[in-house]
Amino acid sequence: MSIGIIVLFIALIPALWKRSGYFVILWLLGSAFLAYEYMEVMFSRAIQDYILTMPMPIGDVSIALNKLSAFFGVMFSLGLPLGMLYGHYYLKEHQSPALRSHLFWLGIMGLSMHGVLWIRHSVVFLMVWELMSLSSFFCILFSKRENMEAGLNYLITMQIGAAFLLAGFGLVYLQSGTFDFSGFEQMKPLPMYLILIGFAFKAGIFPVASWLPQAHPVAPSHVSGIMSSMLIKTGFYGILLVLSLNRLSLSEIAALSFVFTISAFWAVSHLLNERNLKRALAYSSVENIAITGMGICAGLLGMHAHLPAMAVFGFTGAFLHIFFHSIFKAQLFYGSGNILQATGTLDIDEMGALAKRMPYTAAMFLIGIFAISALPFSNGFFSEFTIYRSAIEAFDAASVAHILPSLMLLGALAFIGALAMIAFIRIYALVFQGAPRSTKAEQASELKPGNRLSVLFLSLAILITGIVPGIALRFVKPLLRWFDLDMQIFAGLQQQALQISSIYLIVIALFALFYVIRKLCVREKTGATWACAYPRVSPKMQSSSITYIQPLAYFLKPFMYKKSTHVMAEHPFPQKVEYLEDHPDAIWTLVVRPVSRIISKFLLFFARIHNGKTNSYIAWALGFLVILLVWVVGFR
Amino acid sequence: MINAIFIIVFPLLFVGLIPKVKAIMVGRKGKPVLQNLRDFFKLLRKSEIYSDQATPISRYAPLLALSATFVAALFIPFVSDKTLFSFHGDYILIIYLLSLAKGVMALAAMDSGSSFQGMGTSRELSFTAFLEPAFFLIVAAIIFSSGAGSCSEIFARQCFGYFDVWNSFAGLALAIALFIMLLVESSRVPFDDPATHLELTMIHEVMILDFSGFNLGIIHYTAALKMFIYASLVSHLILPSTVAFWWYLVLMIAIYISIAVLESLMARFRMNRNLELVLLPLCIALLTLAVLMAKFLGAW
Repeated sequence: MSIGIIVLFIALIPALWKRSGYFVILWLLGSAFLAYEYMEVMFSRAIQDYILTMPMPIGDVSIALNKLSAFFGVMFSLGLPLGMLYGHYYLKEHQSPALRSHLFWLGIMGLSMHGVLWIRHSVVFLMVWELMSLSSFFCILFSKRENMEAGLNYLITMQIGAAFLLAGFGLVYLQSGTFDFSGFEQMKPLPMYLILIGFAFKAGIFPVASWLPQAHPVAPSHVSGIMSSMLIKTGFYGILLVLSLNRLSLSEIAALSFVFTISAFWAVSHLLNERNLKRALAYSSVENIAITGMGICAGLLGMHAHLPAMAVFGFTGAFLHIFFHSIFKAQLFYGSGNILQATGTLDIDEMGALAKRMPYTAAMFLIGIFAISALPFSNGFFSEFTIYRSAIEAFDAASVAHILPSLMLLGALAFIGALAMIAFIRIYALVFQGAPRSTKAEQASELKPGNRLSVLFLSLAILITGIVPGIALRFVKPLLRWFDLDMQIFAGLQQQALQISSIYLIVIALFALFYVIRKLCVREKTGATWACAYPRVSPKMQSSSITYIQPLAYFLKPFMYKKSTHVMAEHPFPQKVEYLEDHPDAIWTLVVRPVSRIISKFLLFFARIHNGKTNSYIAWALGFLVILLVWVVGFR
Repeated sequence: MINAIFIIVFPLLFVGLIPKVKAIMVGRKGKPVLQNLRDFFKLLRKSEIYSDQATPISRYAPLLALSATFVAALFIPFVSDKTLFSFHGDYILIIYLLSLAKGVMALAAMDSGSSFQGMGTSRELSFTAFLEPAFFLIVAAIIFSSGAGSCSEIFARQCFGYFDVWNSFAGLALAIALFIMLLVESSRVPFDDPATHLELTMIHEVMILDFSGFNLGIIHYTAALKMFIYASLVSHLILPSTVAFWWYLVLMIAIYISIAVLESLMARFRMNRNLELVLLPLCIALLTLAVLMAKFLGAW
C-alpha cells in the first residue's frame, strides 16, 4: 500500500506547479505499484491489513483489502492513469489559471477513490467518501460559470446520499456497537435499506440518478470519463459490500430487480431521444449500471433458489459488465471529448460526415459503439451473454416465485439491449456518416495523436477482452471463489468463452475470404447519392435525430415527459415557423426543481432578517432578550 | 456438413418460389424459379458504384453481415438435426450474430446520407426492439417445457414431444409467433413489400438503395439466408421427431408457398401502425409462457 499511495501523494506536488506531464507520469508509476498490490491480493493468499489507531471517538481504523475491493482497485489503478493521460492532452487546449486547482482536485479525487476501497471503518469511510464527492465537484466545475448549476446539483445530491449513509451507519453502530465493517453482517432491514439507498445515489439508479445527465455533459471530458466509468462504480462497490454480508429475502430480490429494470428502461428511453452526445452517454451509464444490477439480481435469485449455475452466471456476468463498462464507457467519453474539441459542439444534429475528417476517431468510436450495444466481437457481448444464461437457468427452479422475476429480467434485458443498439447506431450514424450538417462539422479535423492515445489503448482492450473473453474470466475467478460459488460451473463457462472465441475466428476468416474475393473482382466508381433524381439535395434533408426514432417514439413517448413550444404562422404570408420539442428528465423537472424551489422560498423567508438595518437588528436582539427573560422567569 | 451445402445453394432458390406462386395466383406465368440465382451470379460480376459520402463501412458491412449470418446458420438445424456447431446457450450468440448483421447493415445504409435510407433504417431497426425480446421469450417458453440447452436441441423436431396433447396448442402458438417473425424479418407482405417501387413505402429495399454490383448480390443472398433460417426454425418446431426427413422439405416448401399465398391475398398494413403488429410475436410468446406457468402451478 505504502509505496503506491505515497507516490500518488507526491503527484500532488507537480500539480501545484501546473506540471500535468509529471503529474501523469507519477500517477502511472503509483498506479503500477497499487495495481501490483491489488493483483497480489486477488490472486494469492496475501492479505493487506493495517490497523491505524486514531483518537478516541474513532478508535482503531482497519485498513484492509478483500477480493471485492481488490477487484475494483485493479479497475481503478488501470483506468485512472489512462484518464489522467487523456486529461493531460485534453487540458493543453484549455490553458486556464484554474489548471492548478483542477489538477490538485483531480489527484485528490483519484486518491479518495482508492481510499474508499481500503477503509473498513464507517466514520473514516464517510469522511473519504465526502472528500471524493467534494473533489469530483471541484473537478466538474473547472473554472466555468455555466457548470455551476449542474455541479451544485451533483454536490447536493451527493450530500443527500451521504445523509442516508450516515443514518444507516449510525443505526448499524447502535445495533452492533462497532464502527468496523464487520458490523454490517446480518443487518436489520432498516439500516440496510438506508445504506443501499445512500450508495444508490452515487451509483446512479433510477429515481436518484438525475445528477448524471446534468453533470456529465458539462464536466471536462476526462472528468466525465473517469466519473462515469469508475467513480459511480464506488457506489456499486458499496452495494456489493452490503449484499455480500447479508442475505436478502426473495421479495427484496424481486423488488431490487424491479428497480433495476425500471432504471434501465428509463435510461434507455431517454438515451434514444437525447441530442447531446455526452448526456446520451451519461444516460447509458445509468442503463449499464442497471444491467449490472440485473445480473446481480439474477445471481442472488440463483443463490436463493439453490441453483448454482444461475448464481455463477449471474455474478460472473455482473462483475464482467462492471469491468467492461469501465473500459468502453471511458473510451466513448474520451472519444466524444475529441469530437467536442474538433467541432466545438456536442449536438449530434450539428455533426455528420466526421468519419471522413477524423477517420481514426471514427474507427475507435465504432468499436466503442459495438461494445456498448453488446454486439459480438466486443466485450459487452460476453457479459450480457452470461447474464442471459443466468436468467434462462432459472427454469430449473422449483417455484414460480423464482421463475417470474428472472423471466422479467430476460425479456427486459433483450428489449433494453435492442433499444440501446438502436440508440447507439443512431449516434454513430448522425455524428460520423452522411453529409456534414453544419459548418462546424465541415471544418473539423483530426486531433493530435496524443489525444487519441488513451482511446487507442481502451479500444485495444475492448477488442482483446471481446474476442478472447477468457482473459477477463480469469480475472473475475478469485472473486467468485470468494463469494463461495460453484467453480465447476465456472470452468464450463471458461470452456464456452473458448468456443465463442473460435466462432469469432470463423466469422473473421469468412470475412477475410469475402474481402479477398471482393478485392480481386470488384471495380469501384463513385457518384451522387440517389435522391429520386431530385437535383438540389441539401444536408438538411438527411434524417435527423428526431426522424430517426420516429417509429419507436410512438411507443416510447407515453413514458416520457415532453416539453414543446410552437411558433405558428398567423399571417397568410410566409413567415418563420418554429417547433421545439424537448424530453427532459421528468424526475428533474417535475420533482427536483419544484421541491428545491419550495425549499429555497422557505429559506428566503429567513433571509429577510438580514436586511442591513441596524435598528431592526436591535429589535431582534431585544425580542430575543424578552423571550429569554420570560423563559427564565417562567421556570422560577 | 450436409446443412452447410444446403444453406449455400437453397436460400435463393426457395425465395424464387414466392414470385412464381404469386404469378400463378393472378394467372400469369411469372419468372422462373432459378431467376434469383441467375441474378445473383450476374450481380457478382458487375462493378460497384458508391455515393460520394460513403465510407469504408458501406464497402465492407455487407461482407461482415454475410459472414455473421452464415455462421449463425451453421447453428441452425436444416435437413439434418446435427448442426456443425452447438453449445449450451448458443441461441443467444445466434440472435446477436443476426443483430450484428442488422446493425452493420443499418450503419451501411446511413452511410450515404440519403433521407430515404435513414427512413428505412429507422423502420427496420424499430422492429428489432420488439423482435429480439420475442425471440428470447419464445426460446424461453420452449426451454421451460423441455429443458433443452442448445438451439438444435430446442428446435429439432420435438415440439410434440415436449408439449403434451393440451399444450401442443402452446407449441403451435409459438410456431405462429415465429412465422410472424419470419414475415417481419424477411420483409414480407403485411409489413413490407419487396416488390414495391416507391422509395417512400419501402423498408428493407430502401436501406439498400445505394448498393450495387457485388455487394448487392451479397445483400440479397444474406436476406434470403435469414429468411431460410427462420423458415427452418418454424418447420422444425412443428414437425414431430418421428417423421422422415423429406417431410421437412415438404414443410419448407409449404411455408414459402403460404408466404406467397398470404402476399397475394393480403394488403400491406398501414406504415405508421406497423409496429403495433410487430408486437404480436412478443404477445403470443408472453401468453404461451403464462399458459405454461399456469400448467406448472397445476392448472391441468
